[in-house]
Amino acid sequence: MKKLEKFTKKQIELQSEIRDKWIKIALKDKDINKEECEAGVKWMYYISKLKEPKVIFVDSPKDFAKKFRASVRDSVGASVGASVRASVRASVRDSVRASVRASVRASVWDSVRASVWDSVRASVRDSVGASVCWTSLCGDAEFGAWYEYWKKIKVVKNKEVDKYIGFLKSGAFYCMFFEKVAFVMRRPTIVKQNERKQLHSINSPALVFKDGTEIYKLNGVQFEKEWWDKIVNDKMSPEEVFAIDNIEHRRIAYEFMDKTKMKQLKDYKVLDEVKDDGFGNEMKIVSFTVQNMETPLLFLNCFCPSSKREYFLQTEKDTCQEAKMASFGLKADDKFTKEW
Amino acid sequence: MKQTLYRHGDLALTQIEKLPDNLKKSNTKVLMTGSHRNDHKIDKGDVYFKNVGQYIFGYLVAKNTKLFHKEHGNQWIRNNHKKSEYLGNNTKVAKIENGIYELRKQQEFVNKELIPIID
Repeated sequence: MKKLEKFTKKQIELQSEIRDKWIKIALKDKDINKEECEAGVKWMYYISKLKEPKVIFVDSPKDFAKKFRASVRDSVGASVGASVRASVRASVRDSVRASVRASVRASVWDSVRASVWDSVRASVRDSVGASVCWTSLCGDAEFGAWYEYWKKIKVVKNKEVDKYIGFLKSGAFYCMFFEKVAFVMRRPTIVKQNERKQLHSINSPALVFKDGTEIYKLNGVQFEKEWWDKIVNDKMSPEEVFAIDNIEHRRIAYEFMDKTKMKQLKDYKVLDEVKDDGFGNEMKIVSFTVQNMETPLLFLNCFCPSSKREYFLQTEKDTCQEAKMASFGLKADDKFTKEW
Repeated sequence: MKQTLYRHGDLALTQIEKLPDNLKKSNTKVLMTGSHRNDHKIDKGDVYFKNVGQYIFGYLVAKNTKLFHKEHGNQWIRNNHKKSEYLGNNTKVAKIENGIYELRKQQEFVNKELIPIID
């Protein structure tokens, strides 16, 4: 068969159709086909040379924790067994992905393959989220879209992969595989994202599960409801923001804070400022005094070289270069050759 | 010799002349789990873990080594199917020079004590 060099207009239109279909399957459809899902899990254990597990459906992470504890208790001292996630994942990778990858490579030119990757697979991945669990919709909806596209235009056809696709379509949002028990989580009932497709909502939970479990996230970072409420409604003083231990939480809280509040900080000063750290990023040392503390606090205000996210890292140094290098235990005159 | 220093997010790699004695080679290719619980991984090279002071937590002998991370790197590896499947579907790559490196974890100085960056 001649290698595919160029798509027809219809084949190009099909790319967005398949992409949207899989985003809907992963995030918008609600039902779970238990029979199909259970058969899919058992098949994955079979190809992984593992004994057939008991399949337990869960409604949310909270429900998983509850049912996991109950499973351990019910098995009287025994456990659900060790996690077999890695071996199941490896078997699916070898049996499912490897076979179709070779077929697509043999039938389609590189440039054409890359365009499907960009317009179908990457789009689904960006919408559905990080690959925390490949063998489920949460991590593998992108593969589903990719395979289904090539199948529709008759480049691949593979019964094993069809089984796996059937399992994904059954609605397995997230799976946790153990030797004796496989837990399958249903899709959330509500999913809210920002324009970068990170889980995010400023007026309601970003995720709501069937049992009512709510998860609050801002730009992909998870918060307790109480903290989420304080941040989105700008109820925190700058002292409170800078006192947050977790730097990701501190970063988000600062992002949402009205910056004019910085003037409320006692003795607020910029001690040092660098316009370009050699990699195009600004740095500052800011200082202020907080209640009950005699010495001012110093923070290095800097940006991640890759994501460009803005951070405030507490330091004891009063120049940017010293503070940056000291955070890695290096001397001020050391210089990074490259930063990513 | 000009010392090569790489920053890979909250991980720094500092080139050194030779490995310290009495190290035990690890089988892992994960150097460190950093920001957002994402791993800093390599494809090739030998990894040795040993805490020295508050920053150094190990060593890497790099030979044709690439660093992988979900956010840190200068290019995506999504077109390399084999690697992207092994490492996750959303991974960036950065190539480093051959050599021996100390592995350093970034720390924050909080109220007169050093604490690892929490995220």
